[in-house]
Formats: sequence, structure tokens, C-alpha cells
Amino acid sequence: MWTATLFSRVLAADSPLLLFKDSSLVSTNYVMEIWDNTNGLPQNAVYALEKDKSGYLWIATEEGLVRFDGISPKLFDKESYPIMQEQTYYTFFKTASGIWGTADRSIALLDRNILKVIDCSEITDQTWIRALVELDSGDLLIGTQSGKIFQLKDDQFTQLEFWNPERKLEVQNFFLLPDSKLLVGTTAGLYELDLKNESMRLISSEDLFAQKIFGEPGSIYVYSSKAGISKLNERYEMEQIVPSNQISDINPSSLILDGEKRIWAGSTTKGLILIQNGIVNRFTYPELANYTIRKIIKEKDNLYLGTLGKGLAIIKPAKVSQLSYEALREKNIKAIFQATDSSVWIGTRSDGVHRIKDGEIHSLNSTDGLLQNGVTTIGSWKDKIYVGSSTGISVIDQKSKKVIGKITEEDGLKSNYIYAVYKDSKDWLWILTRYGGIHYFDQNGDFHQIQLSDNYSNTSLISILELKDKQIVIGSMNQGIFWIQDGVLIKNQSLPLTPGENVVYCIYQDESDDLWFGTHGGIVLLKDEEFKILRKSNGIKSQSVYSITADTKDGVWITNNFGAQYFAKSELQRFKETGDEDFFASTTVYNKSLGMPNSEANGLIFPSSIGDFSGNIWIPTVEGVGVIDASNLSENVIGPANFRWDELNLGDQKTPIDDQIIIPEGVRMFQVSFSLIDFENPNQYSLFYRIDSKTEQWIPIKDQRQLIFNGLKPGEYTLEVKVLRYGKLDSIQTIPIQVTAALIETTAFKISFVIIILLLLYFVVKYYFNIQMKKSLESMVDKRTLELSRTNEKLKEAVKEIEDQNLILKEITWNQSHLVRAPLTKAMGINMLLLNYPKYSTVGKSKEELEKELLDTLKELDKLVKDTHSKSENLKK
Amino acid sequence: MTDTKPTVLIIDDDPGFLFLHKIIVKEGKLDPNPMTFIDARMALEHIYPLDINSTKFLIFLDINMPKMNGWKFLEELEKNVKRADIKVIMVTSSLSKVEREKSKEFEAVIDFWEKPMEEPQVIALQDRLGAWLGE
Repeated sequence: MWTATLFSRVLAADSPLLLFKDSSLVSTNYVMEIWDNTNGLPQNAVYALEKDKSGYLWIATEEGLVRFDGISPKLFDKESYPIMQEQTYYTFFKTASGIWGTADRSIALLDRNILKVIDCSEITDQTWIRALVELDSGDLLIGTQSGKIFQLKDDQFTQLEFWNPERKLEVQNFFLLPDSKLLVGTTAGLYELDLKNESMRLISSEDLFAQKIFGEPGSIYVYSSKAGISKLNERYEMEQIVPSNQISDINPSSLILDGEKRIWAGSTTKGLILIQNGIVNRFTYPELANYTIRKIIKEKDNLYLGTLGKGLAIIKPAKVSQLSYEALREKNIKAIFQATDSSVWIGTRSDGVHRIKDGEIHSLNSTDGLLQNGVTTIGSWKDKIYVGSSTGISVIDQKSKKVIGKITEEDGLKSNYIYAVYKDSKDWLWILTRYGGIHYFDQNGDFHQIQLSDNYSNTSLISILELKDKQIVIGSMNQGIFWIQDGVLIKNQSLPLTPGENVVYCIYQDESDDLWFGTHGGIVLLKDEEFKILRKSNGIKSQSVYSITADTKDGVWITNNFGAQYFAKSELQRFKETGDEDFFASTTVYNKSLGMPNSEANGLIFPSSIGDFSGNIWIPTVEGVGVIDASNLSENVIGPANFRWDELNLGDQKTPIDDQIIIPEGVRMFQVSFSLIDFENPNQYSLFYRIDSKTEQWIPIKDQRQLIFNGLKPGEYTLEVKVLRYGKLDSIQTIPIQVTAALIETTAFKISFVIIILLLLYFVVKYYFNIQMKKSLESMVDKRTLELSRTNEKLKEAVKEIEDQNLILKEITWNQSHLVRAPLTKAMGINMLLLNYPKYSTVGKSKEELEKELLDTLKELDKLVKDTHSKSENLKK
Repeated sequence: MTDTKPTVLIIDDDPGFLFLHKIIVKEGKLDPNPMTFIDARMALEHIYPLDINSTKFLIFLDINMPKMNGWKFLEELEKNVKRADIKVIMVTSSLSKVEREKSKEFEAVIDFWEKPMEEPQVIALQDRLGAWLGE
């Protein structure tokens, strides 16, 4: 965060900074930034001031060097940058390699950083460095107070042999010419060194004390305390421009020639000396009245002054103009209105109303017949100006500028407290007041009042807009918005706001006919019958939004307690389309630092800002009117943003960033700093960053120029910083970041580790299984052996059993063939006998006896069969 | 030429078969009065005293007998009877082929019949033996 002390002031007519086009309505002004020990400089005595090749401004102070990008000063001192051999550098010499700063015994090369520091103690004994120049070869020539010139080549000093002036002298300064020629200013004349031919010659009187040679080839000036400022032509003839007596207080080391061939210098007593066409002007900035100016840089419209005691002052044209009319000076400005004749009417809180036209101001107050000096609203209708106040409306004739009448409660108004007067396209004049007062005069001058229900009898109606479809929308305090068509109230609609926020200060209809309400709780968008709120967390500077005004180009301006805030229309469109709660709008704030008379704009007036017919936005503030020329915002942007990656901070260690960032292993927190060098308008930028390109989410960067990262996992990243100017993409800056993994964090290590573990596991498992398998095989063999022996036993048993059974079977068979057959055959025989009974005579037994014998035999057989069966049953086990 | 008729002996441990075979031998006109022995040893005792050149014995011999089986009987007969002319027909209820083969080892065994003996077998035997029967 920086908190520059800022001053702004209307320039007097004799100001040297006639930097702007003249305007009949608007006069020019400047803003001055002071950078001193309250906001970033270590100390307030500036010894040297120069811009490096990258655009950084370097400031030498007693307590170290400061590199400045326009918004954040960065200190280089011996403590934080041990490369420095000394703390105080007295002089800067701008060269092709960068800025060489000289101290008592060392010199340092500066460009973005301190690139190199060279110990010069071998040439600075009893003396000090007065002049330095860098040759095309890169070698340095260094002149000393003791009159010597040394060449520094490959870090080796050698005294320049052909520099051998006859008189004892001191080298004062160098001025490099084309063709390898060098002018050497000394206490005893001006010399030309021919570096190619290694020769020298005196080109002036030996009596010339050539204290300072400055300017550019073709416009070379020499200052001497005796002869003043002389111009040196090609033949080395001197033509006096300013005699010394006119500039006896000049500080020679501050002398410069600007791009318009004007000579600038600081006075040793007070202020600045500006010499143009030989005429000496002196002027003093009130802010710097008590401080001498030691160093000056004039660059385009900006003036950089190094002071003794007030640090660095940057004076630049204000982006916001102020009205120079004494009558409006520091007045609390209320409603501003532009009439059809292009006159602008400006109301004040307690100083009446003022008409501005063609550079003239005409003021009216209560002595001229105004109801009172406080103005709440201004409008016009039928060639008359209507100035509303807390006690009614004063009617002013546009032509005669005289108060010709009034409109009050007596004429039918609900209240004398007037909030808004507004003419619509039907040529009706609308008047909004307290106590639910919505009234209008129709095109015929007939007065009407819109009846609201008793619920609204205390409602204050404060803002009004006719939409493109001729509907009238009226904003209120606490009761939302009222829709009116053809003089009839259609509906009242509340806004999704808390009671404290529910104040509709202004209404804006965009090009897509969507409505935007400036309220005390942010900007409420009404799109497709749905409300959506743009709050402070989405990028608006303050919750209360007093006005919303579209410019004639690509932007919309809102005003609030912090000034005016510019939104590119594309940003509002982006808000319409986003569903992201973290949406953050890219905006540009115009406040006092850019020339607003006061950062606090006024609200609860109507209109609370206007865009005039020529594209200017007029903003009423508590201390005057700010006028922004919105028509050429983008034209102010020259070239791409000067973005520079700066340093990588790892704890105490600082490393300049080149084309990539490598975070060493084990480091978890680091900071990446960058610069956006801009001395014109650092406010114009909105920055966002992201480190993971997979996400669409860009994180807003507020004022800081340092990004802190913590806990990034090892890997490759791309840090992207998106730079927007006035809400439009300027560039996306990228830098690769490689977070190195500690050995144990590397993928290779992890893979190897896993492989080793797997191998180990494999061997363990294998070993285990080998043993296990052996064991199990052995046990299997044992088991099998046992089983086999058992089986063998069983087999033996079985064999025995089979043998036994076989025996039984044989027995059965034997029985079958013998025992069974015996009775069977007997039975057959008896049966045969019976058959042949009649034939046989020798039987000797009766038939009955034979039959009985047969039956007995069969019974015997049956018994045998049964025995056999039981035997066979015994076979089963 | 001889005019002596052989004595028919029927040896069987089962009285039923002795009875039955006796009838078949009678009815087959082989011998009107065959001798029956329930014990082979008794049959041997009957034969030994009649071991002279002119005696003939036709023996129907059962094999499976408890006190002395048919084979034992044959062995004793071969060992002790030298002169008497003896022909043996094995009559058995056994179906054993082994026994049939074994019977061929004995010179006196001329046939191997399965029980029960039948009349046509006896008639066929008379045709076969013819003159030896002394007709």
C-alpha cells in the first residue's frame, strides 16, 4: 500500500506548465505527488535522479538508492543489498549499459537492479569522481577532482596517457560527442579529447571554469559561474545565452535541456529557473516553497523534481480537470445540469446556482430571487430552468437568467422538499418530492399528481428516468421503484436490499435496455425481470453509488464517496453474464490523485453527474466540480503496459527474475514481485493473477506488487498476470515457475522407491513361498507317504479281505455246485421217477412217499439257499 | 469171452440218490439188483475180498462224500485192487470242469455223469459196454 501525499492546485496564468489545450469551460490543473520518508523513501535529500533503460526512476538519497515504478518505491541499501559498497551515491551518469552511480570510492551500474559495483578506491585516494562516460567499447572514462582521467577496461584502471593538460586543474564533467570525441569541462578550460587519435586540445580560454556541459549534440550549453550559460557551436565558439548575474543563484548540477529546448535548473535559494529563448523565468510550487530543487527530469508532460528536504516531487497534468471559476472554488457542489443551449447549470449546497456558458459564469442566489441558496435538483422545460431546493422550485428564464417564478406546496406539490425535476420526451415536466409526491406538468402546462396509496404518504421520491419504451421509472427511499406509463402508476417494485441499503440514488438504462440502479447497497441490475447486485466485493469502490453515467465511448462512470469509478461497458456485460459470486470487475478510480478537487462526490441530488454534449463527465464533489474528458481515455494509452518481473524472494534471499523462476528444494514459501512502471496513471490498471491455468478463476491483485506463494507442491507452473487498462486487456504476462522437489519428493525418487519396495516385496514373498513351498511339499510327501503306507495297509487288508471273500465266494460257489446241486439233482431224480412211475415197477415206494421225499429234498435245497444267502450277507462289511 | 456179469455198485452218501439210482439201474435193465453203499469205505471192504481175475465191478461213484470222497476211493482202489475188472462212472452233482479232468487220471473211470442219473444214459451205457456186461 502506498499513501502518497497529494496536492493539487489550479495553476496561475503565468505557470510554466502550460501543458493542456485551453478550454473555454475548463481550465488546466496539475497534480503533484510527493514521495518522501513518509511513503517509501528512506530519507528526504535527493542527490541524483535518473530513469533507467527499463523505465524505472532511480533516486539517490543519503540512505541508499530507491528504484521507483510510479507506485511503489523500492529501497536498495547496504543492509538489504550487500553488493553495495557504500550507502550514498552522489551523481548518476546515464549510459548505454544503464545508470552509473558514483559514490566516494565505488561506482554502481543500475538497470532494474544493481547490476555491478566496482571498487574505485585506487583512483579516489584523496580525491573523488567528478565525471564518468561510457564509450562505445563499453569501457569507462572516469575524471577526478584531482584532474586525472582513468580508463576502466576489464575491471582494470589505467590512467589516460594522452590526457596531459599543462595546467593544474580539476575535471568537472564530460560530454560525449559523435566520432569518438569527448568534451572535458575543467576548472581551467574546455578540452576536446579525440579518443580515436588519442589526442587532446584546449578549445576555450584556459580561464574558463567550465562547470557544466549539458544539452544534446547540436545544442550544447556550457555553464560557468563567471560567464553564465553559453551555447557552444560546432566550431566550438561560445555564444552567451544568459549572463551570470541573472542566474547567480543557479544550481549547476541541476541544469537540463528539455525536449522543447528549454533550459531548466533549480535555484539554490528558491524554486525553479526556466530559460526559454534567453528569457529567464522563475517560479515556485507552493508545495515546495521551502525546499531547494537539486535534480530535474522533464519528460513529456511530467516533471520530476529531486529536492533537498521534500524527497521526490512528480508534477503531472491532472486527468481530471477543475473549473477555475472563483465563484465555484472549493464550493460544495450539488446538482449539475446541461440545458439545451449547452449552458451548464451548477447547483451548490449553500451558494446558489451558477450558469456557465462560453467561459463565462453567471451566479444566482437568494438575493437574485432564488427561494434559497441550497440546490437539490436542476431541470429545464419550455426554455426555463427549474432549480429545486428544500423549500420549493425557483423558475429561471433561460434567456434573461432571471428568477421569474416558483412552484411550491401552494401550487399543489405534496412537499416543498424537491428531489428531482425531469423533462421527458412527451415534454412533460416531472417533479418528485417528499411525502409521496409524484407530479407532472403535461405538454400543455396542466398540473397533474399521481395518486399513491397511503402506504407511500411518507415516501421520498428521489430519482427518475424515462426508458426507451417511454415508461417512467422512479426511485425512492425505502420503497423501491415505481413504474408509470402514460401518467398512470403501473406498479411498485421493491429491490432485494436491506432497509438501510434501500435507497435508489440513480437509474441507468444500458444499450440492451437492462436497468441498473445505483443504491446505498451497490448497483442493482434488473435484467429479464431478475435482480442481481454488484457489491463492493465485486469491485465497486463503495457500497453507495450516487450516479451512473455512460460516456460517449466504451465506458460507464459511477460516483461515490471515493471519487469516480470507470467501468468499461464490457465489464458490466461480463457481470451480466457471470454466475460467479467472486466476480471482480476491472475498474479505474479517478480520485484526488488524478486531479479530482476532492475524492468525495455528492449524492442524493438530481442529476448527480452528467455527461455533457462534448463527452465530458461532470462530477459534483464536496470541494468543487471535477471534469473528466472521457472521450480520449484510450488515446492516452501509448504502447503496451511496461510490465517487469522483478525479484524472487526466498526468505532473506533476493534474486532478480529473468526468464524463469526456480524454487529450490525444501522451500515452501516464496514471493514474486513485479513492477508495472507508469508515472502517468497507475490507477488505470487492474491486475489479476493465476498460477493454475486449468482454472478460469483469476485472482484480483489490489495495490500490491508482490505475490506470495505458500505450499506449492513440486512441479512446473506458469504464473500469469493479466493486465487490464480501463477494463480492457492489455497483456497477460507469464513466467514459468519450477518448484524443485526435494530428493524424496522427486518423481524419479518416488518411482525408484516404489520399485525397490516392490522388488523387496517380491523377494520376500518369493523367499517366503520357497520355504513355505518346501515345507508344504515335505509335509505333502510325508502325508502322501503316510497315506500310501496306510493305503498299502488298507490294500493289504483289502487283498486279505478279497482273499477271504474269495474264499467265501468259492465256498458259495462250491456250495452252489455241490451242496445245492445235491438236493437239486435229487429232486430232479425224484421228479423223473414220479414221471416214470407208471412205467417203473421196482420203485418200492408209493407215489405219495416219493412226493413227500421230493418236498423234503426241495426244503433241504431251500435251506441251503438260505444258508448261502446269509453267508453272502456276511461278506458285506 | 466171459460169461460173468459185473456187479453194479452205487456209492453215494445221500440215501435218496442211492434209492433213485438203484431204481434207474434196475429199470435200465443194467442190473436187477445193484448194491448200494452210503460210505465209500464200506464199498472198498466189499470189493477187496472179491479181487480176483474173473470178477467185474461197474461202480457208479459219487465224488463228494464226507468220510471218504470219490477220489480217495479211486486212489485206494487203484492201490489195492489188482485183478478184478473194474469200470467206474463218476456220478456227481458238481459242475466242476476240474473234477471232470481229474477223473481222466484214473484208468478205471470210463465216464463222467451229472446227477441225476437218467434211464437213457444207462441204456446207452449198455450199448457201449456190450459184451463186457456179459449179455
